[in-house]
Amino acid sequence: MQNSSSSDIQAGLIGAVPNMRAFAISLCGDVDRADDLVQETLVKAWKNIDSFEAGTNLKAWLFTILRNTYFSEIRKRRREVSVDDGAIEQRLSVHPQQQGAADLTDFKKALLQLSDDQREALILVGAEGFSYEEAAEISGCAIGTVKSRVNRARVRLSEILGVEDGSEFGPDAKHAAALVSGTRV
Amino acid sequence: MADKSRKSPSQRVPEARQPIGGDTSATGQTRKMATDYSDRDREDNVRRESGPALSRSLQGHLGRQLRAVYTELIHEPMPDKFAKLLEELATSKPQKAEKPEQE
Repeated sequence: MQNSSSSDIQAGLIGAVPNMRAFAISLCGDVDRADDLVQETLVKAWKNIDSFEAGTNLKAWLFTILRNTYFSEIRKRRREVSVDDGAIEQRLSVHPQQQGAADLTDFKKALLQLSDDQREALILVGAEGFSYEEAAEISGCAIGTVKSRVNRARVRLSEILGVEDGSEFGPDAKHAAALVSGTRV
Repeated sequence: MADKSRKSPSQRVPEARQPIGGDTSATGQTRKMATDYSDRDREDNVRRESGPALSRSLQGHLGRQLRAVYTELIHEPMPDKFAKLLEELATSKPQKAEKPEQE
């Protein structure tokens, strides 16, 4: 902690909450669990605020805490109970209230079928706009690993959604094309 | 299409990795937050540096859906328990090591 006042930090933390929630929901597929994750992250961040270097990327720091919390929880759960397929099914019911955006339902389901590693990398780079370097720092892995995870995530998504390279989203991919924010090809 | 004409690995100068929260670089200055979505450069790099990738149009297609989904999530109404939590934290435990415990 150098020269940021407590209220600056507080404002920074609260300002980052919407993105932290979006990231957490994307990771675990469950709003309530995501809120718990965000809450836990905020508490940890506040306790360890001294280790945050003023002027560096607060959001990246928070995302690091959040994903570490999530993944250590996952590891713990896997030790305790073997993960059953039913859990995955439950995770698919993201945001039932968003019927207006039904176009994206298939995409959301596909996203949750990716491995955790791939989904994390894709979200950080493709949705949050972190650089590969930042994403690598957040995930604690090599830059090349992030790149290949993002790459494999995209390939896997296109397989799940049945959109093929070179298809130009023509008649065969009508269904998929309709998913693009209402645009029909 | 462009997959066939893969270029040699990019000439970008690799940036030094800095541990989160532990910036020890000489300048010690902020790395800029990546708030601009320069997907194009990024996708280019993927293609050049990590082998076969999807075409740009397909990547763009997936990227738009991804951001649409994510933007929805960001704009979800935020429960105010988070603001309350931070207020509580701020009053109960002000910046450890900076101020003594408040009564």
